[in-house]
Order: sequence, then C-alpha cells, then structure tokens
Amino acid sequence: MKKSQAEIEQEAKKIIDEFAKALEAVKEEVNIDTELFDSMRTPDRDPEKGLKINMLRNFPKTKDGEPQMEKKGW
Amino acid sequence: MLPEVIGRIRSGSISAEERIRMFLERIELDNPHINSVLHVNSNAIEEAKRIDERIKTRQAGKLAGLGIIVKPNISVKGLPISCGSKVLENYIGSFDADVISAIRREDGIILGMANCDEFASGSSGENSAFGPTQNPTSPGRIPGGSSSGSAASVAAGFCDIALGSDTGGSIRNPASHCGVFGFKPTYGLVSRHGLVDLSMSLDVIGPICKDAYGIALMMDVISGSSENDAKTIPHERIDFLRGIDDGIKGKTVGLCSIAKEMCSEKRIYDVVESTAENMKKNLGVKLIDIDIPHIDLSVQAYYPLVYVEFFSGTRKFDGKKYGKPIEEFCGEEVLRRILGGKEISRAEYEGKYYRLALKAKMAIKIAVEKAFEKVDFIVLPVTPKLPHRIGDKITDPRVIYAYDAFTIPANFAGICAISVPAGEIDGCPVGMQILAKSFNDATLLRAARVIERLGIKNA
Repeated sequence: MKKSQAEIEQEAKKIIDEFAKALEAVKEEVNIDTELFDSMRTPDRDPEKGLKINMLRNFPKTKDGEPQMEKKGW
Repeated sequence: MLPEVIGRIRSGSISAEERIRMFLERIELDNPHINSVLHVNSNAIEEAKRIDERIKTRQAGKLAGLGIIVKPNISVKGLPISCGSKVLENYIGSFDADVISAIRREDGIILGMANCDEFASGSSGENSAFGPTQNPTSPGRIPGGSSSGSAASVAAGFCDIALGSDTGGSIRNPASHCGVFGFKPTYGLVSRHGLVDLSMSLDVIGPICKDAYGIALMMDVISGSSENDAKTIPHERIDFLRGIDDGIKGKTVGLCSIAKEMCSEKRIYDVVESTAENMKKNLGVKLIDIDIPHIDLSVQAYYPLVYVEFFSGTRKFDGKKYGKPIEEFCGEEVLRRILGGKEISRAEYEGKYYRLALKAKMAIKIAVEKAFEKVDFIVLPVTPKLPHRIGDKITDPRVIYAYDAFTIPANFAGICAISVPAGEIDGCPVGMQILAKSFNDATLLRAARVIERLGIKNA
C-alpha cells in the first residue's frame, strides 16, 4: 500500500531523530567549522579577501567601515 | 577482457561499427527483461562508422570503438537526462558533462542512458520511476544501487564500460552485487560538471567495468581538474595505465575486524578475510588488524547530511525551470529525503541534527586518516548483506540504508575505493572493497588488477 505524504514525513522525522540519538555517542571534540571553511580554500586563493569591502558596498548605511543596522524600521 | 578487445579493434579484426551493433542487438534482445537501459543513442552506429575511419588513419583515441553507457544523472547532449524520475522524464541534455566531452575526445561511443534509482536515491535499483533493474548475474535479486543500470549493463554485456555516480556507495554497491569492478575516485579528481547532484559535498563520478584495466583506462580519460568544477583539485596528471601490472608487493593491508560484527551475513566477512589472507600469501603484502572508531555510525551520520543537501539541491525542480514539480511527481524515497531535509533545515537552529551529523562525519574521516598512518590499503566488505529478492516487501527504509554501512566512510574521507569481485555466496557475487589514501588512485587500481590477474576468489 502506498504511503501518504504525512506518513512519509513522520517516518523521515522518526529516522532523523533516531539517527541523531545514535550520533550522541560521538564524544570527541571535533572542529566541524574547519571542515566548512577548508572546503572553500585552495592554497593560492583567499576567498575572504575583499569580502568585507564587497559586503559594505551592499549595505545601505555604513559608518567608520562598519555596517549600520536599521533599528525599529519595521 | 578489455585489453584484448582494444587490440582487436586497433588491428582491424573487428570494427567499431561491428562492436556497437553487437551491443545494440544484445540490448534489444535482453534489455526488455533486465531493464538496465532507459534510452539508446540512435546516432551510435553513425558515430562508430566515423571512428572506424579514424582507426584506419591511426588517429583514433584511447577509447576508440568502445561502447559506453551513462547513468542518467550525467548530462549528455541530445539524450534524455531523466535521473530515473518522472520529474525529468522529457528533459533532454543541452550540453555534454566534462566526463562525456573527455570520452568523446578519446573516441568512446555513448551507447545510451542507464536506469538508476530516482535521483540516485536508493541502494537497491528498485526506486526508478521506470521500473526496477534485474541483476543479470543473480536473477531475481536486486542489482544494487543507485547506479543499478550502469552495473547491470556491464554485467549483461551491453557495453564495455559504464559511468556511475557514488555519494555513499552507489558505484561500489551495484558493482559488488553484479560481480563487476566499480571505482569511486578520490573526491576532486574527476569533474562533476554536468552531474545532477544528490549531495555535492560527497558526489563523485566513476567507472564500472568487467576488469580493472577498463577502470584504469576510463580514469585515464576522465580524471583531471576542470574550471567547470571548483572542487576539482589541481594536481599532476596521473598515468593510470603505467605500472598497472607492477603489483603491490611490500605494501601493508589493514583488515578491519569490527566489520564482522556489522555484517548481518557473516559469510560476506569470511570472503573478505579469506581474500585478504590470499593477498598476504600470494602478493607479498603484510596484513594487519586495524580499528576504525565510529565506522558503525556511518549510516546515521550520512543520511541527515544527504537529506539536507538533497533538499537544497532539488529546490530548482519547481516545475518552472526544469521538468515537473518534484514533490508532486517523485517517488517515496525522494520525497522522504526532501521532507527529512526540510525538517532538519527548519530545526537546525538548535544544532540538533546537521551539526551532530557533521561532527560524526569528521570523526569518521579522522579515524580513517589515522588508520592510513599504519597501512597502504584498507579492506572491507562492500555491503553487510546479500542482495534481497526484487519485490521483497521492505517497508522500513533503514533496512535499505544499511546496505551503505561500509561504503560511506570512503565518501566521508574523500579517498578512493574500489569494489573487486571476490567470491560468491548462494549464487550471489560478493565484492571486496579496497580503500586507499587520496590521490593514490593509480596504486589502488594496481591492487585491483593484481587480485584480478591472480584470480583470488573465494566461492
């Protein structure tokens, strides 16, 4: 019998909950942020170079090289 | 074997056209019950005739006259890139993927597109919208997946070499079940340009063939960095064929005995252990026992990561840009991954799933790298159980996910791995998996080749 979308969704949630519980067994301190940034880098390229300049260029308001956040604008 | 076939084509004792016609006749005769090929290239014979002219003038490339079948998640200009799904049923490739361009440059002939689990989501070959693929080597059983049609096509003699993609074992798993060689290259060695992604942080394209020479030949053609895939790593060109018969004498092989506990079919581990012992006896290698902590959590770490990346990657299938809206037309497993990925993305502010899975992935990667401080190769089973019968009622997806337990670690570590035919149990082929460090792909293929040449098999 074909499962409904709601049943599949429940099943997916059950699986990820069970898997997450099992993964709590990994007690080592592992730096996962290194993994995320390493994947963007090659030895001769610095992807963050110019990032701040480009970011600031897109901000509507800046002051002293820092972005100015809109306050209570909404 | 492929070297003899190549020799015959080059010497003119068989033409490219004759070989391609032979494949097409076999496909016409046997594919209706095997269902490993979804679409045949109607220009294949014309292409073969053109290549025959190049062979006559000695201008032909390395793959001249060889027939290639491609997993339908790899873009081939003018052929349907269905991904085994109704979502992309009528989607025609508008360009050649880097690997296809490389094959064409070396005069390989694209015979057609294989069947596969929908969007590479499956480990059995039963999840295609176009029906399950039969295992030609073990009739009535699943061929494995997700590159089910690619492996079954090689086993059925529909082509010389097939291309598959491997995210958590999708090349090695069906290769093992179908009794052929399946190779997952080092991450970053082969361009994924033109590959419809399942999980881009893990996906690789690799070859499936009846012998290790064919794997090396195809790797010689498709490997290399490309500006089309930023993840390809610039490196010196690897010559996969040079020294392929040199053997692996003096190397150290690690056997991971914890794998025995993880095998629900213990006889699979026995085949691997016995093959490793034979390597020690006949190939001059040193065999030691190793441990890979957390390897038993590979499945639990892998699926949350794949769910999330797949959910993200499939947002483009909204019915406007490509094909039909995916949630409305996909099968159960694809929908499960999308909904699971959506839930993880929604709940991730608590670091509840994704960061936990990333942490486990890194822990397994570190454990594999640590094991390689002591050994040159690691041997493992490919799957912990024998292929089930097509049509068996399996309602719990975790039963299917369990097939990937031994293949995922190589994807997590980004290293190369191969499934080598190693034995047979109850009429089912059983593969042994050999892993090597990143960019030691050529050395790994030397190991596969010498095991093949010595006929080390355990029935």
